[in-house]
Amino acid sequence: MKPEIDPPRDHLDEALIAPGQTLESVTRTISDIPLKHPYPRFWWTGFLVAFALVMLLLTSIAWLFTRGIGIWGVNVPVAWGFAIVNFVWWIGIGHAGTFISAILLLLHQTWRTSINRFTEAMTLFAVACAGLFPILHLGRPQFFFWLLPYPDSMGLWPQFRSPLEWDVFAVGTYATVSVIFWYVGLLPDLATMRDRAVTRFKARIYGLFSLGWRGDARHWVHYQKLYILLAGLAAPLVVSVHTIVGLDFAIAILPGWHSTIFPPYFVAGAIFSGFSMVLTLIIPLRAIYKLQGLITARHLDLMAKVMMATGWIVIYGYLEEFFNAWRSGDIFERFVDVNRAIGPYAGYFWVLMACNVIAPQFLWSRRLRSNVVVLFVVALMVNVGMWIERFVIVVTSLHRDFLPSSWGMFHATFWDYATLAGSVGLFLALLFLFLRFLPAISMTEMRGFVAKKGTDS
Amino acid sequence: MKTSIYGQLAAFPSEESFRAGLLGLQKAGCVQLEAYTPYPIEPPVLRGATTPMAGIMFFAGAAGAAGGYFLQWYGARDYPLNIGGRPLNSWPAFVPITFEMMVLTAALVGVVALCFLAGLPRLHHPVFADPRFRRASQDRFFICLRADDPLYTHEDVRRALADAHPESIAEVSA
Amino acid sequence: MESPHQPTAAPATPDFWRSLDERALTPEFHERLVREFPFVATLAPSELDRRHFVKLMGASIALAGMTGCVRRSVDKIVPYVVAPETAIPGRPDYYATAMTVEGFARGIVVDSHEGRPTKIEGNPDHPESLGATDAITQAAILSLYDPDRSRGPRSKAGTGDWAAFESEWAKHQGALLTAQGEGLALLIEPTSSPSLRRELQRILEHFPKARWYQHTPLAAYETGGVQADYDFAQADVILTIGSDCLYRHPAALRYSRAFAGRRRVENGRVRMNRFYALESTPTVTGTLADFRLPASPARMRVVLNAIALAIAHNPPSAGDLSPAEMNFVRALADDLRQHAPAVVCIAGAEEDADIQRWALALNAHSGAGGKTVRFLASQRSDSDRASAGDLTALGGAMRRGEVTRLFILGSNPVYTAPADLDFAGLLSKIAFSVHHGSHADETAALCTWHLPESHWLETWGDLRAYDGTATILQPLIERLFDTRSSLEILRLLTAPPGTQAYDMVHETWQHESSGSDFDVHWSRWLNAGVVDGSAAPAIAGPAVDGSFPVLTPPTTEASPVLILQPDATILDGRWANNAWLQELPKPLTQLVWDNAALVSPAFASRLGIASGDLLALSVGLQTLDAAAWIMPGQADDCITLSLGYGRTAAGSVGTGRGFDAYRLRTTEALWRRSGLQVRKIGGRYALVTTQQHFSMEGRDLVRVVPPDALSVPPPVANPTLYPAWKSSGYAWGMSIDLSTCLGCNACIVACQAENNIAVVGKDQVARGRQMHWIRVDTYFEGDPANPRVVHQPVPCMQCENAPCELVCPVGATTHSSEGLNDMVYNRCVGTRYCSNNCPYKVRRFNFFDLRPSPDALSILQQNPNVTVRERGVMEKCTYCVQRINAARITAEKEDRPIRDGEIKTACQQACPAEAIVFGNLADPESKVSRRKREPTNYLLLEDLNTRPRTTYLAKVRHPAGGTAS
Repeated sequence: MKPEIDPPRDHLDEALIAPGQTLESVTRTISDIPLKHPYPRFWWTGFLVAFALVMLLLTSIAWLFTRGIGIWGVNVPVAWGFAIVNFVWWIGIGHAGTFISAILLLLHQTWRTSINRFTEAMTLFAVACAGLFPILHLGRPQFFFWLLPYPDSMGLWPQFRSPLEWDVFAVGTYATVSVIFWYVGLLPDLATMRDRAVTRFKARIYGLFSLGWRGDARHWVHYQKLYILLAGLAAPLVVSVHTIVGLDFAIAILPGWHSTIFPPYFVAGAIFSGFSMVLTLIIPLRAIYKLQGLITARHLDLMAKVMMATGWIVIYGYLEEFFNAWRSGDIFERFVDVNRAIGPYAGYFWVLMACNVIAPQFLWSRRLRSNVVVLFVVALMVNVGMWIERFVIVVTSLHRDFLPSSWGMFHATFWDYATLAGSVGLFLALLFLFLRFLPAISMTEMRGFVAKKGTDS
Repeated sequence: MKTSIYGQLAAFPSEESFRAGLLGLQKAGCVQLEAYTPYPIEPPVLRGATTPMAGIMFFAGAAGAAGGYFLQWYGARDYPLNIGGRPLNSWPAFVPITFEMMVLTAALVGVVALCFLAGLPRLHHPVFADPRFRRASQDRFFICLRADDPLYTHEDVRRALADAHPESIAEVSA
Repeated sequence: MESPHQPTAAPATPDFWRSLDERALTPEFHERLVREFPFVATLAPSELDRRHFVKLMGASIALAGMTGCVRRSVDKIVPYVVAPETAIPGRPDYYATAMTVEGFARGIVVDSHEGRPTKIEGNPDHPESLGATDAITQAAILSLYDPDRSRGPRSKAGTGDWAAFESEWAKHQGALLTAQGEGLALLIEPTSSPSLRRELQRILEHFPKARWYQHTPLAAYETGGVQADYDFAQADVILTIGSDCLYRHPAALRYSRAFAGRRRVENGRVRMNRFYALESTPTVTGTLADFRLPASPARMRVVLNAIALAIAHNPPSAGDLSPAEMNFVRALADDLRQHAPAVVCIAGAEEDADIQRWALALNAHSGAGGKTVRFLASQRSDSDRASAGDLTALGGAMRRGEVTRLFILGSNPVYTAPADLDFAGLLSKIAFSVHHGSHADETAALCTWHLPESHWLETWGDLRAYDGTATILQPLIERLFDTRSSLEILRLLTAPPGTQAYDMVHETWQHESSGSDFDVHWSRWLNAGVVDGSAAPAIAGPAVDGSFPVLTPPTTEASPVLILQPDATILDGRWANNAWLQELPKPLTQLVWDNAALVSPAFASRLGIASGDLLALSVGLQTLDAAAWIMPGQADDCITLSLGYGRTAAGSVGTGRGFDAYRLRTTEALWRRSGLQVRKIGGRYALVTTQQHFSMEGRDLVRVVPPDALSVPPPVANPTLYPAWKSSGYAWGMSIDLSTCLGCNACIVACQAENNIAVVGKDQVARGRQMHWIRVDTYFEGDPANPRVVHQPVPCMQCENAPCELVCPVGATTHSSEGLNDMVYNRCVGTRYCSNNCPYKVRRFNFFDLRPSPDALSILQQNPNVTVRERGVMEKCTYCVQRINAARITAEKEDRPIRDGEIKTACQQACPAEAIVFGNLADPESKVSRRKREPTNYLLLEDLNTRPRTTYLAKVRHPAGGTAS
């Protein structure tokens, strides 16, 4: 997929793990984080902040269910607002994990080893946040289950032609498969945790979840096959999910949505935002938990390159949209693009351009790229930019469509912002719990990596 | 009376010595061998270690896809409605869900298959009794010659195991 | 007699009434009643005597879901067309009656479910309705159930009841008799009611020295006791001078129908008239014109003088006319010469007297008299010899202390009096003043007594239409509250209490009618809703020869002129508490819940005014702050503000909205005031509209064709891969004629009344959450100073390839075999994707719970055949599916297919111009099929291949600036 991240192997290995790491050392370094709980002050402050935001989320949801969707800024013509924007944003972030674990595994990108566990966890939590919004944004959320195919007493079934129905299956499958993939990968590490646990209680809990894994050579054979096949399934799955999210819009006849470029360009955008989120989280974490030995500058460098590559696919998507609008000669399509650039929401559009188009270009320079601060800021900007991109797609297309008589404006309310902030809190809170109780890097794969290095040299 | 023996459990500090020991025993004709490693060893050194996983997941996936399409086809037929003038069997619109169902079924069946094939969950196992075994999930490699092996008590076998210079060797009781 | 509702002799009083009373009096029933309908409980007097209780029952029994008979008035009322021996629960009955439009009758048929009037339709047999209604008529039903209506008499002291008032009045009565009524004054609105006028006569005989004055804040439709009446069907050239005669006029519905007949394409042909409009501020009528010229009151006089000269072959000198004015004058003069006498010239009732005379002169000069213009004796009491004059006269009398006892009936002078009169001050000095009205309004607050007035659907009465046709008003429902009609109040002045309006109306008509078998006539009149042969004969017009009065422009040319006009929806403020009318977008501005100072684009740019800026308007001694609205087509140098807003005691809906234009009004200058000072005071005011963008952006939405090239590209069947669904039996469809659509918005309210559509309030409309199922889009094209205006009603298009259906994940919106795009409320989960994917944006979403609370009085109005939608579900136009099914049931019982025209959608039934036609497309001979075969037929957004069942007929209009053909 990306030839530039395939330099000579020895150099790669050197960069991917600090010298002097042994089976024992990697295992200790990684398992000590959950077992010994270092840096408690950082953890507690971080967790409590996140937890406060979770409370805000619950408050918003309670008020939403009490009063109705009207507490948000949505209206006619702009019947979709923050809820859908947030959904697409989170599901996009949720793509990096599976991409890194599955696709890079299939591509034999060994550098994924030290980050895949963490990104998979990130995926799960992002998908959890994403999954909230389609239900919250329903006018009658109490009936969300009508979207599920169950034998209804009146013989009613969901309307399978609707992209929203595809979403139900896509997101549902994606969440399930991600959990499976993550858990299967975690299995041997849970055994390690069991065996390193200091207290009997912890040993039992970890033992329980490790299902009594013993590292039996025969089990490893089944395990290896299952893992590679799951990767083989997850790879097309991850592409399909955001393709379908793209179709949510592309299937509609609305100018600004009705476009065949959407699926590929949504997938690229998803990975783009996913990698930026990984960087945003990993750069501080590796500094705080002193993991530079395992997550090296080389990793950051490679992720930065992936960001640039996917970023350019996204830029191509932007250009393609404008070109198609102009080429088609469709006055409605043309108007949408002009309206985005100079209409009432032009501000959003230009911030989007600054974040997604301009900012990543700084990473061409190796010097800037290797500067973690610059990298962190760029990643942060891309996160913001990708949220705004979804806002621009959803709102500016809706607010001025075919009949000028029904044009309108969307103004977000306090509860729109509260729900967004709350979902970020939920995401962080889950991440903190993950760091606290589970190995953030796959010890098994690191051991295999160390061993291979031993044999190679 | 004498407690029954599960087997001889030998610990090796490195992958090489472990491989040597295993090859020795297999050459000596041992069959009831078990090996434990902290990470998957490539290529598998234990004889006859193969897996039907691929076949199982393929058929699961196929069934999932078929079921997924049938679900939609049946849903449209069971309660026929004119939706935007589209035909009842709108097959292009049914593709995405068909695909998702394929992936979902294959993945779920795969995990169940792993548990079934590996006999998991199994929270108790004789080798766990050996305190050394805790490092099997960290940085030690173990070979277990089970007591029910016909050659268990044979002299050559003991020698073969010893020649591999294990870090330590001891019997585990069943 | 205990109950005021039972005439002494009422043989027709059904037996169940008694049994009901008995039932009503059982305590457990009362207990249940109160539990279910708290608002009744609030009215409940401490100790329940029978008489009170019967009235309490009124507000509640319909809700109690008991058989409808009980709510029907006990007097002898006769249903429209078919008279059911007994009402069948579930089947509505129809009664013909009339409502008052500025004192004149408009014949209506009221739809009554289980004794609850729920919907007002036009009476096809009535000359001033012809089956159609306007927006106000449609909304009137809501006022019957207005919770703010006063529910009992109230003295200034505090509480009070009828008995207390009657006893107090008895004392005054004695005193007055000796004084021959000296000091007694009555103030009523000009009325056409024979019974009322007869009663007034009676009072004057009784109290020779009593005086009755008349007051309405609105203009009279007569000059010197003579009404002009026009025949738009025969007019080839029409000139309106500041007149909105097709929208707001006692005969507007008849005029619209006739006018539409001359703009409608039938079988590819149209007998087009040529319509010129000269006006200062855009009116619904004026914007329909082929040639419209905006002119400030000053310029208007110049232009009219020029026209007068041009007709007499004196070409106007280019010096004093702008090019636009010159073209207008030339073209008009040519047309007038060519088409005389088939000419109609009508000046707005608010225009100055000399302009009125000018219009009469033009008609006379063209020889239109007796052909397109005829004259009738004034049907309203404005210039009744017996009347002592208008409010100014009364004010004078009060100032001179000649008035000691004052009765104000059905009018609200404290709010509507000109500012310089200080009526409030004068009124507070009157020793004994009585206000009789439906609400405890601004005037009631200052009177010794406030007496609640019965709604006209609750009592007997009579009215004459603009053309003289009389109608007997029959009550549709028992009085909801302890109220009386104005007839009964007037009778109270001279007679002991207890006389019923029924008896008074009955005896009036016994006098009128020629003796024999009166009762047969009587019931026929009630049945048909018109007193046959009562139309007024034409009389000789006012003595005007064809010579035009020379109009002198006002002196103060420099400063802008203030123009006051009745509000488009709430008129003079009398409808201010009607939520439907408040939320009804006002034609042309689409403003809701407010009035605004309309300024021309040029004027706005000169003063740097943006819509919503607050302006200080000061003229003479009066000043008022009002928000500005930039109105394309508004004449320069004049600012228009509509009456009716800024009320302080209108009720929960109407109080404290908008700006009180009466404060700028003087007795001298009621409608036009020059010398206006305008100043931006900074600060903004939230003006809310249902439409924010008035340009078509060059999109092919409303097609306009000239009368000599009647065709548009015919719809083509776009290619498709889908196999066609065959529709079984009926295929419902609609055709909307943009050529005849007036943009009067009657259809919007009709739909609202029929389909239980909620009102959301100003702030929600500001958020874009109005619920109207049909909207009337307005687009301005061309020069903002004088744009071409087009209107486009947009209901659900009922697309055959409906985009909304495809994207619903639960199949909550699907297609019926007859082509309806059905919305299944119960299945809707509220993803709102359907609305996003609707290119016409006709879907409406319940963002909040908009259902009326179970104890709301307005719930009585709701149509039992239409589901009330809950929070979180989508809703939209259904083609009035409940009416389709009702017709289907009838047809199946009679074992026949549904006849063409048997089903009328609510919007279609209301439309005065018959612009909307609904029917079966499967029948090639149906009216709708024929219309869709017209050469001007086209589909909105055809390229999307949504295949809408609702299609449009292009607007036919003479090209702008065109000269005589």
